[in-house]
Amino acid sequence: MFGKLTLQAISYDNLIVMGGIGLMLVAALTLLGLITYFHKWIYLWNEWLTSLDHKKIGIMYIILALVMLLRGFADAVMMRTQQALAVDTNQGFLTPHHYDQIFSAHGTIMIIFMAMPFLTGLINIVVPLQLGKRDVAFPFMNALSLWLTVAGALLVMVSLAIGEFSTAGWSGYPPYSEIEYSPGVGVDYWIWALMLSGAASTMTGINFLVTILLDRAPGMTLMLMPLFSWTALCTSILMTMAFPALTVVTALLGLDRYLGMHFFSNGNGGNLMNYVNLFWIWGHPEVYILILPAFGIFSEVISTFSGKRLFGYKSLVYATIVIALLSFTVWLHHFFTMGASANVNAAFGIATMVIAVPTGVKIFDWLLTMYRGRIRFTVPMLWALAFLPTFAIGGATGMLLAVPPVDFMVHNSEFLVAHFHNMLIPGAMFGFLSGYTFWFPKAFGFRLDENWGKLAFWNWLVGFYLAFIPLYYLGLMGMPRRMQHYGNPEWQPFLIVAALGAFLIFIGINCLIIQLVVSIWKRHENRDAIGDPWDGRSLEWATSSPPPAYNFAVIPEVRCIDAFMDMKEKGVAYVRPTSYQAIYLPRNTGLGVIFGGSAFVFGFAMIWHIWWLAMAAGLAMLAAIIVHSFDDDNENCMSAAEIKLIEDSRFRVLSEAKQTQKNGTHLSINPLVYQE
Amino acid sequence: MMTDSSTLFPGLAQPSQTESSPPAMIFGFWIYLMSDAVIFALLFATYASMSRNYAGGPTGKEFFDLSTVFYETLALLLSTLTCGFAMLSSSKNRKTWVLSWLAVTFLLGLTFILMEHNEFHSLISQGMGPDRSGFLSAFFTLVGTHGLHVCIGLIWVLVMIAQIMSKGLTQPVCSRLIRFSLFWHFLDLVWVGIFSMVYLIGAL
Amino acid sequence: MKPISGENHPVIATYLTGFVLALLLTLLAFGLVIVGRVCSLGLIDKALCIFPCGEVITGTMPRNLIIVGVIVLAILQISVHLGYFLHLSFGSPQNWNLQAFLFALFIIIIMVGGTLWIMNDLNGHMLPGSPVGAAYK
Repeated sequence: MFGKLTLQAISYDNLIVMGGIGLMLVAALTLLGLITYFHKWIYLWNEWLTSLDHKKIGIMYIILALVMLLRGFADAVMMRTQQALAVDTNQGFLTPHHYDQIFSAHGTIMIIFMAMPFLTGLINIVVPLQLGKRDVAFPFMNALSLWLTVAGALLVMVSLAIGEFSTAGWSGYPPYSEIEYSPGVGVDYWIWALMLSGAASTMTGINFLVTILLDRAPGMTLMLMPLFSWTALCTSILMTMAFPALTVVTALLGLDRYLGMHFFSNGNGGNLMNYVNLFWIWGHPEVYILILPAFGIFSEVISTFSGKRLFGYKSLVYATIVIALLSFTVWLHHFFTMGASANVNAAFGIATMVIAVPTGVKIFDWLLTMYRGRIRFTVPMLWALAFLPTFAIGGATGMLLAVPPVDFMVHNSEFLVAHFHNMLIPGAMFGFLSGYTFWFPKAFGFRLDENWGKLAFWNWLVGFYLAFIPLYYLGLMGMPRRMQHYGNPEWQPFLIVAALGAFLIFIGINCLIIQLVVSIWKRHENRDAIGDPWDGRSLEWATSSPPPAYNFAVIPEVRCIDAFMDMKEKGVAYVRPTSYQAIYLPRNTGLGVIFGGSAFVFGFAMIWHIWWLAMAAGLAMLAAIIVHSFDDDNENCMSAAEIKLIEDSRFRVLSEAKQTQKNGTHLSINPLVYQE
Repeated sequence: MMTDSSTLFPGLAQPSQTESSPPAMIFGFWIYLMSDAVIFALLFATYASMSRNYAGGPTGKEFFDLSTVFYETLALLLSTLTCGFAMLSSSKNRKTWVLSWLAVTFLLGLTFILMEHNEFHSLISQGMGPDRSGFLSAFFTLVGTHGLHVCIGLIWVLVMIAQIMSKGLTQPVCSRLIRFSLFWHFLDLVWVGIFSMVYLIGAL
Repeated sequence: MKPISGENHPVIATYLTGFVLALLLTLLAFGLVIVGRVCSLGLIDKALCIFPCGEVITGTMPRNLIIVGVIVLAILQISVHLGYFLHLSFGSPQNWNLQAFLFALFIIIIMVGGTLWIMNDLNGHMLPGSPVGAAYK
């Protein structure tokens, strides 16, 4: 009846696991209790869960990302603490089996369920606004992507309580991940979490590819698009072309585990090397899926806070495209040591080094954008400034690793761990946090607290260097990655420093939480009344904060790069149109949540071999899609009168702001609104 | 400071941007097909790299039955033609003809699936299932994935028939019909790869 | 309702031409293999199997040639399907469908080509006695 699922699946005896579950349950129950207490269920369902508004979907993505950041970071702290302790006779506080689950979960969560939702959320909120659009191309598919991602994340969270998570690392290499060596449900949790979120990412890629390519504000040619939209376009292309490889490789591993096939098994004609090959065909473009949007964010932030147009806009665009293309040609550098001939290794090593060229172009463009600019050291800008040198260090170690003989020396060592954290934390995480601070006022109508933001930034930055620079030394000293326990006491001082670094990042994360609370508390002080808190340059700042459901009552016309700056300079940024037209917007639907919920049940049933439940959930997913396909009347009309009402109140706020400005109270750093 | 809005905002004259016009829908579906093509390409590559991992089990030459494959090919090719006829009838707004051609397409697709089912069933019952060797795993997965797509296509035809009967040939229904036809033609295209690369070359 | 390529509305002749061409190419491919099989089995007189270029086929010699032939025919037939059924044309400007297709083709060539190159190279390094290596020695 319940497949492999019994009450023994819950490990009551493990204090740490039970503590984690307890904490999660308390948090969840408190949240549910609060929603019930304040009678917010109907509001939540009507305004958020069923919404097809790209801004709300984006916000929900980022909430998911921040929750998963806490989970992934808790794993990181446990690993750092364990390694700081577990030398010689001291076994630390984690058993090997538990430690292995933690590093597998940490990698999977941080890449698939933290970074991916974070960047997807930012793209969702910002790209349609930057392009002067009212929605994405396929609003319903957008909701499907969100709820599939949530389903995948839930599976990972549930694995903490029921059963176990994979111990095979985030990359799940066979033969260890095969059923013979990992007979538990851990690898199955990993497979289904990746399958669901992989399908979601493919759909997101298709959605934004079409959104960006086919329909933009009048006058906005591709070469006039803001750079964040460009990087979102390239990331979408990578998502649609690379994620199929992840689907294939996890499906084949699943076939081995479920149906006894021999794709990657030791005997019977299996070839585990093909797993490594297929996994990294996805895995390498994935790195650029994470990093490219952050490059876009840095471009916007550096240009805005230097008060200058981007230096070398075209070269930045072409560099982005070249990086996207090259990312498909380097995957073998993840397995130089697997034993390919020198020619094969050399070809992929050279291709890897070539990527440094367009990346270098970008770094110089950003530096030259700042050159002679009037730089404002706001929190988003601080993240961007810290990114430049930190990422350059990571890139330099990447060049070392691209040389196959060097790679042979440090492969699978802490050097590698230091390298990819050195790419992904400044290259992705700093970018997302920069974007989070930069666009928060656009999404919610008030700015985040600067002081707590700066405190968070400095803790993150110093913590990052303390946590990862020692790992380079450890790698060169010969310490392999993923060690639950080690015998060399020389490594311990470095690991203690790394643990201190993790502790600083912990403080940084707490600062972010406090920042959010303080900012909500003081939201009236930091209100962004006019919708342009930073003296922005692209179209998302042309509308109010938060934008109305339709984004733009009248679609603005674009004449050049930095369209909104151009409008402000010409004095046409806040001109009231004489009339409005009715606007059609996608109607809310609960089918996205139902589909995601069924997908979660389906995944859970497959993991525990509860076949009847899997069948039922699969049919429910199919039914949701078919029901949706019958619904042709899926848009609401907003009448011109309704729009006029909303817009009139916006222009009232604008003229009030103008009056306050004339009276000498400086409300905003946008100086151009008030030029008469 | 009021200015004539129609010169400042040409966007005002534009139709609603939120509505996904058929070209966007179709382009989006085309991108999905490209993404699906990558899935098939990687399955082909996997098959090619495992095509001789017999592990003492049967080789393709021993059990590939070219006459079955030929009839399967014929069924699928005919169904792609009838699907095209359904599209032509829909552009002339002939509802009955669209329904008839779709029904024929469904039957031909079903024939294909039944033949494939028989082939798989007899192989498995003879102990030549996908768990026998790496080669057979790759074979069953590649051909089976295509078969799975055809099954989804069959469900889709039924949904389309139901929609045409209940709604008529409305604009959204026709848009869906175009996407279905793309899907169906794409599956036949993949089958060309399968019968050439798997069956014909394997039978040599 | 526009067909995907934009301008050219498909007509019945398009589908029929496509069908006939595809059928011919299918028959050719199957015929080629059947002839090749018969030759390699030595069931009929060698002189009877004459390759289009006029060369007399002997024994197992043409296997590679037939494989190349089947691949060429498959590529031709896929092109026929693309042109006549999926209406992919090189004509209209700003043809995103075509650009998406060419890009996907490019990526597929990199992925499949790379995979075959890497896997063959690795297999060549396996011990002759091992299950993977044995298949290639």
